Amino acid sequence: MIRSLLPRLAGAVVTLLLAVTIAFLLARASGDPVRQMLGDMASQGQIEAVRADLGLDRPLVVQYFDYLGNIVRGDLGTSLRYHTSNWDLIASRLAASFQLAAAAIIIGVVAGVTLGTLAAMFEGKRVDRVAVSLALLGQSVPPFWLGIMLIVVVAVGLRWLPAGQAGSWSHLILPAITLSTLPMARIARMTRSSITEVLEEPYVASARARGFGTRRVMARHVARNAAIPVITLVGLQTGVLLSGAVTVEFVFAWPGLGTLTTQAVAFRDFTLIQALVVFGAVTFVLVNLVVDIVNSVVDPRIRGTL
Amino acid sequence: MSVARPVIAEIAIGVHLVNPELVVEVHDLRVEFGGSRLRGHEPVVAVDGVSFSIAAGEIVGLVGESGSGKSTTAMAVARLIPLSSGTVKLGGRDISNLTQKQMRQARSDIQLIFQDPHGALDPRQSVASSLREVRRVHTDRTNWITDAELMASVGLSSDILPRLPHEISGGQAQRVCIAQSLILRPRVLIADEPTSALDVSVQAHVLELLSRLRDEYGIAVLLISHDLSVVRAVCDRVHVMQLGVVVESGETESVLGTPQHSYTKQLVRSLPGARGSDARNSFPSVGFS
Repeated sequence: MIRSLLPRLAGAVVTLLLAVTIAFLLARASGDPVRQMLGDMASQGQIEAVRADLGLDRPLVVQYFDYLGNIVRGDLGTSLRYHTSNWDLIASRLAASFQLAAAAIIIGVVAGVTLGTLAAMFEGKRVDRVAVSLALLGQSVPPFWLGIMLIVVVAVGLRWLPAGQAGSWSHLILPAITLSTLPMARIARMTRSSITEVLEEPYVASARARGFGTRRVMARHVARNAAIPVITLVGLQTGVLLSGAVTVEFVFAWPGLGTLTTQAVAFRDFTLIQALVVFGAVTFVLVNLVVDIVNSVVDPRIRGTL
Repeated sequence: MSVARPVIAEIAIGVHLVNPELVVEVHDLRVEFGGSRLRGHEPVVAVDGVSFSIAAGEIVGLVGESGSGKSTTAMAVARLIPLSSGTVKLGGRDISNLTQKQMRQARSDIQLIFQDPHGALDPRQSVASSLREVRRVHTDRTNWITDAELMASVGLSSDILPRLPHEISGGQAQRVCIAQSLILRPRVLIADEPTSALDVSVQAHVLELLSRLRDEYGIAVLLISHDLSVVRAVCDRVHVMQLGVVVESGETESVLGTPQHSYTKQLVRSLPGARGSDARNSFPSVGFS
């Protein structure tokens, strides 16, 4: 298994290299970061001094390899605003983001797979139409609007749950529901189409013809074969949620990576932005590797290609 | 030989008939799709008034062009799609109105082989695993033979057991499908275009296997095909279907040698080199007798 994963790991390293390079170039392509940081009132002398202090007066290639070397050593640099290690800043927000992402993805998977399965099993019937409508609604409603509506109705109006910030589990419910709607909708649609497709496969008719019961056919033949695209989608959604849910965290003042990203952009903290991009890329690549491994366990055909 | 509607419960006296017992009796079968009285939509009649019977150890062909209702008839006889009307008897027992649960138990007696052998095997299951699953579901019916013996009986080596469907050829996959059916010792085997996805040389081997299983186990076989040379090679009797209706029935040599219905004549004319020749001999030879 480990040997078969080596090509994937090599591909992951290339992906990461591209991501950190793009992060490095974008931070510089959007203008002089020092001028943006200090504002228009700063004198040329002050700008030159800060530039020299940050090493930005060196040639771009030197800066790039210096930046790469630091990343390889696990050094994501120091925040220009907080004057502390970017890694420490990310680590301090990671637990909150992970908690929110995990809750959202659990809700999204349970609701999405249930809706999608019901829709596929009752294709063309009322259950299908309701499930597809719910999925479409989940995909169409902007999360920030839903978040605000939930705060207005559930937190402010009904006073059932707190409106924002982290704390007890009750603080988690509204942001998790808000964050789960889009993954839920996508997972429901993917589950429906995948199961519908598998139900048409001759091996399903063959299993029925052998006298296998509906439960066995669904669990052993339909679900496992329909799972591959759904698992891949869940992996992608998990990657997106783990690397920071910017709008939802902002709406609920959730102290996670999304809020940290908003703050880093607002204060033009380009070293922190770079660090967050690198962290997001690493998260994505790792989640994708996990997805590949899970898929290979579910589908033996994939084992040979890993 | 009969033209138009076949005689119900006609007993063929084919050369291979080992047991004259009627295993399958289909009477006035009708299958409709769609339609809604509320919306005023008329249903599509896929099969209309089809009747035939198959005796133990007999191979009966159902021929016709695409869309003639052959496969629908097969699926309805196996109760994999609902019957609109008519009856299907299996060993004298009417299975037309059995519930799905009751039908699951009866399925071991009536097995199907599909057109696409690779598609009919779960891509995630090895050959051994798929056989194990059949054994697990039908514990009382499958102890009579080991996996190795089963593989040998369909002309395969035991080496194939750990392989996944994509690791075996089309011919091997079709033999595995036949083995999955055979393990249940069915009384009827419905083979829906079992050779159309295979190379010609492999087709001959699969047909030979069906003939041998019929001879050895006395299985009644309903062979669905659009290929008259295939039907002529192995079938004792044949029913010709057009637009959901059986238009001509009788012994294979008689129906295909001197067709009476215009549609059958047309089908026979479309068979390359079939007119005036013996297709039983013209089919790639692997020893049909």
